[in-house]
Amino acid sequence: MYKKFIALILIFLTVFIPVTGLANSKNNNTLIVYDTNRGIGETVDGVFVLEKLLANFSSSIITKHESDIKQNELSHYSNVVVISNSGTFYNKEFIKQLVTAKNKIIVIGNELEWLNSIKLVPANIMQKEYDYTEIIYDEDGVTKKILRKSYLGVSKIELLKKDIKVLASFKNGHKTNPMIFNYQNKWVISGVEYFGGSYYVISDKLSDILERNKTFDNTIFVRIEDVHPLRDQEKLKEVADYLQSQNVPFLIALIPAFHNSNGDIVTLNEVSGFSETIKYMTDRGGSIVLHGYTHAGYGEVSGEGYEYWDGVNNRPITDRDEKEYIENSIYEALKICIKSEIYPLAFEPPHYAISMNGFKQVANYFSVFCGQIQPSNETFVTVELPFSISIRNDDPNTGSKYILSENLGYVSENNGNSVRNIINKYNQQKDIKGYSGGFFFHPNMNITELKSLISFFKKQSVNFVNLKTLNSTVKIRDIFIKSNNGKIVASILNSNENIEFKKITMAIIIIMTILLFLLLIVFLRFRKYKIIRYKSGEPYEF
Amino acid sequence: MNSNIIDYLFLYSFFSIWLLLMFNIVLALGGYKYYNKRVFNKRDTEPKLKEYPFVSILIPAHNEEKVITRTVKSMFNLYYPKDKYEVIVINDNSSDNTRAILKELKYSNSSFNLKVINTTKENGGKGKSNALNIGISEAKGEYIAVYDADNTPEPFALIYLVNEIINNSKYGAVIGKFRTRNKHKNTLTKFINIETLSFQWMIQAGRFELFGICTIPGTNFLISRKALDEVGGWDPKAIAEDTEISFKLFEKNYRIGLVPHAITWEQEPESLKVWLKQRTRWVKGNIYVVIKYLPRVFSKQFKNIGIDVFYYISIYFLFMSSLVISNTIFIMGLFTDIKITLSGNYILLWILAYLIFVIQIIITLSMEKGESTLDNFAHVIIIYFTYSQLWLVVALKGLFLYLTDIVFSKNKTVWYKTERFD
Repeated sequence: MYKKFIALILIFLTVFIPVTGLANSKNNNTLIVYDTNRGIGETVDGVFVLEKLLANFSSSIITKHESDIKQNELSHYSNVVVISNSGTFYNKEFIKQLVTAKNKIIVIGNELEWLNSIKLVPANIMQKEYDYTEIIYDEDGVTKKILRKSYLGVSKIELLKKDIKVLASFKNGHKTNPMIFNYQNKWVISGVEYFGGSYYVISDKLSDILERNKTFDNTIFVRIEDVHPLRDQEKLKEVADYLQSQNVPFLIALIPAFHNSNGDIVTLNEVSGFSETIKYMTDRGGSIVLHGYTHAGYGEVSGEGYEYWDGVNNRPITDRDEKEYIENSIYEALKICIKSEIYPLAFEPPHYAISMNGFKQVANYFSVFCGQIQPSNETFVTVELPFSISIRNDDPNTGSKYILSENLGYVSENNGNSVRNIINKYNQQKDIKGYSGGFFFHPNMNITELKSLISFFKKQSVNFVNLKTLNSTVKIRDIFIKSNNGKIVASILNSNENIEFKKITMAIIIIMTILLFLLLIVFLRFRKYKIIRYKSGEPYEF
Repeated sequence: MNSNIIDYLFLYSFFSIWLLLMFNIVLALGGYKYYNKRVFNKRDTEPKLKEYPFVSILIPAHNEEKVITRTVKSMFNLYYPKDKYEVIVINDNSSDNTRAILKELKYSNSSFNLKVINTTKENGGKGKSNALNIGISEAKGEYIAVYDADNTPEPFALIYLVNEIINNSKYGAVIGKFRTRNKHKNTLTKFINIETLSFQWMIQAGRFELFGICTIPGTNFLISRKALDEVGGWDPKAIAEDTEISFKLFEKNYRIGLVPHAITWEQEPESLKVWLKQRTRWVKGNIYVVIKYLPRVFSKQFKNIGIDVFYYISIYFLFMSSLVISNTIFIMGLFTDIKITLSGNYILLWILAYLIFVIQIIITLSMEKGESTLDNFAHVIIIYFTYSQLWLVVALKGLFLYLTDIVFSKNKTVWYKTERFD
């Protein structure tokens, strides 16, 4: 009798689980539709930045130019974000779907007048105004104010209905102007910038509009910067000892080879005691971020030069094939590390300088990127993300990707000024919903600066980022490194002994194949002679 | 570093297995070469005897009521002068009708030289070696032939054996070939049939062709009385008394000759239980012999034995341990994170090994009349996954029992008999 009951339960479960599974997987995917990558006269590729920001609010992001929108496309996504950099949307099919869409529509940009003719929202987008000095917004019933130090013109917006909800407004003394507002399923965000007050408010309000990945909430990372083979090993150990004593896991931005001004390269295996020092640090809570190969390449000494960007001419690498150069550089750097049993888990380009193409390439090798992003292929400019990004991926073969965002600065002076600056920066951003970030520290600075910062952040009850627990992967050519719940697994299919072994197995295969053919010949001969023997009438008694 | 140990273990088993595979292929090729030579020189097999030496055929029997009549009758059918050979059946403490049947056979076949020795409680029941030694005491032949109690040799078997040993003075003994009489009975006997053919043509013939040695398979062999006396008869402590006496002959600088056209037919186990018991016994016996002769392998007289001992050691210890290790590593790789870091095209290697294994056996089958059947081929294809795997079980069990026997000092000289079938 109970068998029937169990059968029922099983049937119930087999039906129920996929359904709920489906429900979870169909959620929260985002389509970004844009008109141009940049605003008029701007250097920053807004689509590149917003893709990263929005990834923290989505399970998957597809980006398309407005002309690529086909029939019935918008309805397949939970959220549609329209980036209006120049206000030039000509695809009638897209407009049609936009106006009739029932899912979440967020229009974000600085050229919004095209909304008037399609009457997407009951509002009039009018001329630009240049004199707003503050942004006010509501947070838990409390009105907050943030200074806006920007000359960017924002459109004057006249709201035509009472039931439009305003999430944030520009203010100039008595005058206010809607910045972020919401009507039914549509949100409009104007006055978009990638730094300063507007940036913070927009980042904060995104959590009111979309569902945020909370992986990094309230986390700070501590990064020991430019750790190259000629650093003072005792100081490095001192820093590691201190951080361990405070139970603070940390990142080590490792430069595996030192390229001095003569052009000579010294690798970390060649400096006595260095790889042991690195292991000393990783044993005390440190994780390795690969910080380039030599942190040079375009004429300067290690630790100062650009490696993945032509810093002298302020342009991408053009004197050789950029893709090949980046791949070789990273591969050689990893090989040096792995030879000393050092396993990087993330990547940080020197000065954060790398073209957008280079960034996408590096994202194929490393699942964790650390630092700031450069949203330009033409000039060196960086944008700080207001929180670290966790890009979930439902593809079991790909796994999650992360951007650990450095948005607090670094210790550059030994007099406490840097500490104050970093703390100020933190205080400005900490109220952004989902804020997380990090700072870095050069090991030749006074450790007292670091101690002040650690003690401050401990009082803020933040969590310190431990890369080892993040499930990261590094994959390039035959190198594979994986960090799995605190355990690092690395396999290099190309180590020297393996080549020997591969040669031997190859030799065996060749010998075996020859023997196989030999045996086939023997077999065929025997069959031939068997027929002859039968024909000759000899008794086949043997 | 854990992975290093696993890697070294894997390397050990990898190279052991491949070394042995290569060695076996070399042996097989030797066997085929031998066959080729004999096929085209058939006239060499014609007996060239000026006179017939007296031969004593020893047949140890213990509870053989089902088969002994047929066996003895086929002895009487041998193409050899009836006054030049005697058949001595040693009835070793049988509890069935063997004694009565033998008495009847002797009575109704008085023109044949049939002697029956019935052992007593004191001197009997101590195993095949002991029975043979008892038989020797009554044998008057210049040459001693031994047949198991279920064997039916072909009429020309004896004369071929005699012809070979008479014309080659360096031979202390010569061996014939054994075939499976009940090969069609069931799947197990079909596998055994394939196995015995492969073993004799690839291993025995191969060793003989390349190294000039082969070992006595326990039945259908002829040993000179002189040589037998020199080595002091059979070792009563050895279960594998055939292997043991081969080594003793080598020790005395005798050779053993292969006479594949002297054929006997025997009954192989038809059930797994009987098969397991029989094979485990062989393994135990072989291990005993190998260990007994291991220290003497490097002395000058033993260069021939060296190859055989190496062969046995490599099969039982090297190959077996390698199989166990590589299987364990494989299973560990499935369920844990412990893996070897060495990469190679293992699938290709395995496929090659399997193909070579199969084709070797198929070649052997084509050497025997009527054996290259589709049914046999089908069995060859699956033999690796079925019958061969059982050998691993047998080898492990044999080793285990051998060790426990030492530890618990069990009496090893009980008669180990293979059950007979109708």
